[in-house]
Amino acid sequence: MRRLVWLLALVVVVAGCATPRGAPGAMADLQPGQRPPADSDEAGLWMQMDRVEERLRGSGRLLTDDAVRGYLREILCRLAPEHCADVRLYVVQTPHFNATMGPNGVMEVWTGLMLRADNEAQLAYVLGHELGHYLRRHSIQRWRDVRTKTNVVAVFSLLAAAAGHGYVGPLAQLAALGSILAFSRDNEREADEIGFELMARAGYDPREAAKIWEALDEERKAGDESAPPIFFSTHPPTDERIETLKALAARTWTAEREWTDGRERYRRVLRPLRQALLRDELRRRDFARTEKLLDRLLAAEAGSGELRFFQGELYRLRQKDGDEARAVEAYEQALAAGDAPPETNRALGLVWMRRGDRERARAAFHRYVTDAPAAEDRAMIDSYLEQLR
Amino acid sequence: MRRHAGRVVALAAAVALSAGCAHYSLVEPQPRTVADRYVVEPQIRWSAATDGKWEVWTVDGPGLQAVQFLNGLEDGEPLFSRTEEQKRLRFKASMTPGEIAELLADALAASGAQKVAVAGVRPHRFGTADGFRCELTFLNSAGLEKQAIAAGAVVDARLYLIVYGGARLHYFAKHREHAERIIQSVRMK
Repeated sequence: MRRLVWLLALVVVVAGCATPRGAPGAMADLQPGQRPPADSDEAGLWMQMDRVEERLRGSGRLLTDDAVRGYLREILCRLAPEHCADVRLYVVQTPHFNATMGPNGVMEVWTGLMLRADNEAQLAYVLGHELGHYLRRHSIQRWRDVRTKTNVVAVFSLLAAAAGHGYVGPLAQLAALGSILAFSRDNEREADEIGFELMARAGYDPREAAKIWEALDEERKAGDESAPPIFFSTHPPTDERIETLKALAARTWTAEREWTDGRERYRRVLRPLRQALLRDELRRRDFARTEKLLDRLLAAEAGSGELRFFQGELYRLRQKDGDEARAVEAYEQALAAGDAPPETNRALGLVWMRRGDRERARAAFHRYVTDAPAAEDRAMIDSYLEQLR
Repeated sequence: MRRHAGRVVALAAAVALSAGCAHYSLVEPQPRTVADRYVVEPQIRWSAATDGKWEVWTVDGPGLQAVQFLNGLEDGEPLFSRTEEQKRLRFKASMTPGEIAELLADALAASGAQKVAVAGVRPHRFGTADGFRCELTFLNSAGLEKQAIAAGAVVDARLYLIVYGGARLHYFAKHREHAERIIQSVRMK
């Protein structure tokens, strides 16, 4: 609740900025190195976003992995080399699908997006889309529009909705601010087109752009509608935008030109992180969505012991009818694959114990403590073994 | 615009008031019944507040350190119920101690905690019940480093937990021993 109060205070402060200069509507594109005049409402908005950025820097959620940050910056600079120096990129470890770009050049890439993108081309499209909002200065256009038209109660409801996403903690503030400045349908269409143009210009396969929306839409349909993903509140994956992107791709893609989807490189960079990201994802216990995600990842990598382990974890935690048998099957596939984490045997032991199969439970726990003799939960496992004697 | 801003200020004030409306009462250093199920023996004075599901005792304020008692959560109920995300994290009576520790960590994460880590899950006698205890570390939603210990048991298909947590710097250590004494003093009614 304190976050909400802080946010409301911020809105009041922002609402008290200097009288807007310039009418709502189209503006000239942001030029490389450009900063707004100090006495403008745009400078006020930048200043507020600078403060949000300051808080973001102190957040415990920033991913400090230099390889990943460097990789994302490389994509960004490939998409918009002339603006590369103006953008400050932060990788935020949170399982939600999201990317944001503030008017002042602060870009966030959430790890939930990285887990869901199938390849570099899809990620590049989303980054390009956010760059589109930045280059076209949609935030200030929207802010002027809000200030001239808005019903503050509507603003409050957006804040309350965003604050309901407790998982993201202080990041909800940023998301809420983004919600206040939720772009219009025209802004979204424009950003889609720019994102598409930037990715295609950089040589990424343009047919990938629509695919990420399709995958997300599938997850959204499977998921809990009472808690829609934050990103969808401002970026609805409508059929119209999917069709538009497909039509653009049909016009742009030619067999003569060499395109890349960057799948192999993307997987190589993501691989060391993926286990942690899958743990974050499962922690939400949004089982229907995670099941769709795992199905998609497994379709591309059926022999992955790591993915099979997380599939087993999903069934173990969900505990629906038939889930115990599904969990056992997934864990056994994980163990057979050879790259399953050591916890696979512990998890398998827990499921066998719940099913009353003492012998198999004992065998699995024994394998676990043999593989990980210094496991932090060793005492608990020893007590299970004692009970199972 | 000024009228709109005024409405926002009024709304903010209302929100602030509702956030600060918990009623605290004094807990004396003498045996005290918790959740109508067990008795503990605090060694010092605490300030206590409850929302029914959780009872919170603190000395310096719940943001700095607190003992939290989960008052017999029924099968299928969530640990916290403020947000939709928290409501997905439901206790099941069939959970093993390790799974309950996992649930607690996930519920903290769903409440905005970051980098939540559980360690040292081990058997623990909770009164006369076979229970467990563990340690947790995390950053709160503002990035403050926190440390916690949790002990609990499932009794008659209900989950009872005692969680003591505080800011890693100073406040956790300040009353850790008092919290440990509370955990050790649990006596089933």
